Amino acid sequence: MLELSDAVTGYGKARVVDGVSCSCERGEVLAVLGANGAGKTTLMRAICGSLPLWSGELRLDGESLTHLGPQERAARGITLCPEGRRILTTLTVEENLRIGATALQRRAGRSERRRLVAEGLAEAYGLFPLLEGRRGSLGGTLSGGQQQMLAVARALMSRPRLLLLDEPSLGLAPRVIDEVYALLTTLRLRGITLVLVEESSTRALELASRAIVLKNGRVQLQGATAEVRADPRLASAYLGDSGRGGVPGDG
Amino acid sequence: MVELAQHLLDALSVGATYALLALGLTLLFGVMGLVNFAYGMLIVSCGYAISLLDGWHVPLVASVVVVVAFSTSLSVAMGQVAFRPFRSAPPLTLLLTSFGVALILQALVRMTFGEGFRRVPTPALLGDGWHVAGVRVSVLQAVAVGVGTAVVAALYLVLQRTNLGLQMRAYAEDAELARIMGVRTDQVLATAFVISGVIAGIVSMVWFARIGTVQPSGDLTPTLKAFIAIVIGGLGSVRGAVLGGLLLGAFESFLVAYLPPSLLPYGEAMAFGLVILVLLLRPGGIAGRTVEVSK
Repeated sequence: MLELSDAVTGYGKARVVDGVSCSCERGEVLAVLGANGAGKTTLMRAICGSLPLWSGELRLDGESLTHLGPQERAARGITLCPEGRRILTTLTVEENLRIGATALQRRAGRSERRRLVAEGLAEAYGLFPLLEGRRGSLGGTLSGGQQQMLAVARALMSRPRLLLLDEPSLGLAPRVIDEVYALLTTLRLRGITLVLVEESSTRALELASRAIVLKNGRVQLQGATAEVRADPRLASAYLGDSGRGGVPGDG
Repeated sequence: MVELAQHLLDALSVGATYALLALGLTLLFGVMGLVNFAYGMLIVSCGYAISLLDGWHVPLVASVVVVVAFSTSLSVAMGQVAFRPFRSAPPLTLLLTSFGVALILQALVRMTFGEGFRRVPTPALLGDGWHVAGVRVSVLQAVAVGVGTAVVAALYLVLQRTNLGLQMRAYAEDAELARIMGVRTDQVLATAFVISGVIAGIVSMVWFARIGTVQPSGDLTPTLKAFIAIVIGGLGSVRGAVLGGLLLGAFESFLVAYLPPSLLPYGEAMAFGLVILVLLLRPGGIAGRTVEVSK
């Protein structure tokens, strides 16, 4: 479904993602792992289009999206639930959700829009009853866990074909992380294709069917989760290397 | 008591005009970080348009429509030609671009109309007034306050109750996130320039009815008034623009009323003193967001 080949991108002159190729099948959960600074978030920004590719190609169901901006990619069903949640603090909970439906409304006909948003809201409140109780509260007044739920709910409002989740458990209490993962399991059961970025690999590998491990912007390792978990290079991806790019045992 | 009421009314009508000026400026800042110093030239261009239309004996209502349409087109053209290419540039680039646009427009106006003042006749109707309990209320004052209130209400409805308004608010807070959610930059920016242009057209009718003349370099005063108002009130916020405009209007009116004539020339300096004072006490402006300590 998603095919990324030889993606190179970064900031200024710094190459942060340096020749990454990966793919993701419909309905699968792909975990993207790696240490802090490995290029995971940059890769997500490149896939959702907020950071243009310097070279390489991105395809979704065979269609090349390489030269499309984030709005067009959103309209084709790619949604990012960004790192740090990025809740719009001056908007209410419900307005945050409505913004999530922007791309969907663009896909739909004029007459259908209102109904789609209403359905989306009903679904979101069904999944997160807590948000319904706070629909009029400003996004900035929610707790970290509630904001994460809102961020996921907002992303779901677009009925994504491909949902990118960037560190959904970052900074949350263990109990809340359990809730988040329970939710992600539900999404997987519903058949939503997920790309899940995490720095800590344990939970992500339980949920995912395949994983890629990044180090210094390159793919260190990829394969089915069982293989990745057993591979010694998984641990080495989290260890700093003193040389430039040289990874022991990675000739 | 009557005297105070009179000063308050004057303050309110001047403040309403300043608030309108400020609204047109603050919206662009909120959405794209642009402090549009060409905004005053938009007002000045409208001044010449009003003057021309009056010379052609166009009825007042038609002339309002034409001026607003003209100002909106000019604003959108400005946005598309000058600012759109720099939409993701740093604020300083946008600021310098806006100075460039102001200079170009000013040169065009000079070439077309020449240097010097041109009369912008105040519609006779606006000169009338009433006495209410000893306080003189001119039609112009009533119009300024009425129009100000109507524009603020309309803008509030657009921003709070429409999809496009929601998208603009989202874009203003976090442009990257809004784009990821499918909000189209072009649409948001074009809308901001449309609204800014409509407001500029409306406010210029009130502005020139008050001052009666237009000149090529007449853009500085409205730009500065609007700028001071939004800095006092809080950059990028509608509430801030309204509060800042009203406060600046009140400040100036009371200076004129109570300051000895010998000190009046320093009124402008005192207004900037007020800005410094507000910024010292509340760096984000009166209605501005306080600086966030944690995420």
